[in-house]
Amino acid sequence: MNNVLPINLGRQRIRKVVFAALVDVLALDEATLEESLKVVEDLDADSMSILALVIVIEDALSIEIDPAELHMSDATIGHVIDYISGQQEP
Amino acid sequence: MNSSAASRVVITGIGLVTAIGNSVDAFWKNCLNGETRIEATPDHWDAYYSATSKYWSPLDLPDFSRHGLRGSDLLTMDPAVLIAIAAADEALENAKIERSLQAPRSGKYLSSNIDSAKSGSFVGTGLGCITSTLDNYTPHLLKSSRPDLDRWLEDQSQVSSSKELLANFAVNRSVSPVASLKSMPNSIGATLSIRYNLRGPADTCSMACASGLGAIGRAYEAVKSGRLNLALGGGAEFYGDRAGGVFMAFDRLGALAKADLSRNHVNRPFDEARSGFLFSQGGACFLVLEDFEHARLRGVAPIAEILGTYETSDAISLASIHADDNSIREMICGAIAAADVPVEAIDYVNAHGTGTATNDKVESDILFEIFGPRPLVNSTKSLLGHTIGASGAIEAAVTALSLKNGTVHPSLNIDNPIGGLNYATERRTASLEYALTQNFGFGGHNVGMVLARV
Repeated sequence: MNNVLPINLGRQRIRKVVFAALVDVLALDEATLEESLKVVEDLDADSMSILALVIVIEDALSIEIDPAELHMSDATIGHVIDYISGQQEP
Repeated sequence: MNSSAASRVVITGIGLVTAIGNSVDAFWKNCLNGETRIEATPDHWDAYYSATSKYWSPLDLPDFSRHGLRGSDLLTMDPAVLIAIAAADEALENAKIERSLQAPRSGKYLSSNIDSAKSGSFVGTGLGCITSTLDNYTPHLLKSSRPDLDRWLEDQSQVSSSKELLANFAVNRSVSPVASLKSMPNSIGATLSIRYNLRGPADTCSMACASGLGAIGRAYEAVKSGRLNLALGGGAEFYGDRAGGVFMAFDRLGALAKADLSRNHVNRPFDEARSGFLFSQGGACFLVLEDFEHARLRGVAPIAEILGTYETSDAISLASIHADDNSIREMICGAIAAADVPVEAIDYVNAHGTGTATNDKVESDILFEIFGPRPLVNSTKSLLGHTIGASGAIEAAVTALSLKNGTVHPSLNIDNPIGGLNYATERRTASLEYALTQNFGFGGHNVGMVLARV
């Protein structure tokens, strides 16, 4: 696995993966999720569930993510999607 | 009872995850009926190693959603931690410890009827969280060779898919960001302290096959000394690596049952035809230990009382017990002295009883020398096989339940007994006042504990 996505994916596809990970890991209803929500403050994610989110997203996208780079303590869902979308060859 | 009311330590809750039952009621009923779970080892293990032993006792994992565990927990906790939680939940529930979630979806509880600062956890485990260690080290090793391997595999017409072949090497596709946390042996006790808000010691005891009883011994000492008034003590062990690597390791050591016998006859502690222990995939058991007065004030009836414990080390060998140079007699006599009961008072011995040639011979000889043929003796490993770090805790639970119910479970497959002991080859009912449970671990660890009916 790499820290660069193996194939270029559209933001919409990455958004779908991130939303699915949030639903799976935090047991949330997808209908309640919006990109403006903060992962820690609004979704009650703790340090272990953030790491679990990273595991699920890594597995779905065959990518390695440095959890520190996500700056989850203040990140919104949209920030996470943008960060991962940025890990693509130009 | 001989100990003063102020320092008495009682068991007020038991919880179990085993191959023959994931609750105290189911487990105890199956023990008394002599139930086992023995299967042929998975066929695909043969691709890795030609084992001498052909049987094992697999463990079906419980439904963790019943314990409020979420997807994130299943991803970030080793299976040994998860089954420890399942067992500890049941033990606390049986002990009537009231719990409420600190926050929705937090997985962390507060208890209204215990003092967190005077509550702790003591966990025995042999190989710790080895499933996570193995699952993560394989992809790490493979990573540098993977591009070359991928290219080579593409040229091999007989290999249908490189992904398929690589799946045999690794459960995880890459090293998990929680690999280090999941692999720590102390993550079991730490997780229990976090989950139940236990702010006293969270101790991990690793003494191979004696770990579970050693942990309960430490819990007992902490409550008896007054440092704590409530402690979870027990053990957890789980081997989930896909290639059966831990099984292979014990098989290479020559410790596993080798006899070419049928499935239900291969596991035979204390029988002339014994040839090693039945490998178990794992199990977990926790006891709630409590100051007698603390339990009385909470209105909880004790299951049994712990009177004393004692540990010794052989200081001879990592691998085997020496027939003439060991410290098992000292351990048994020390436990009986700590309990302050006469030797003649012991009505029942839950033996270590692995089914290995030397262990059973040494154990039966020493038990006969100290107790003669009077006490009932059985081996819980004749039902479950060897759950290593969990075994001592499970056997302490069996000892407590035997005292409470005045019944001991059958010790299976003793057709030609060794050592002249009073083996319970069938379920036996008797008036039981005092019992000894004991374990010996690779490395020469010996632990004994004397329990009493309440």
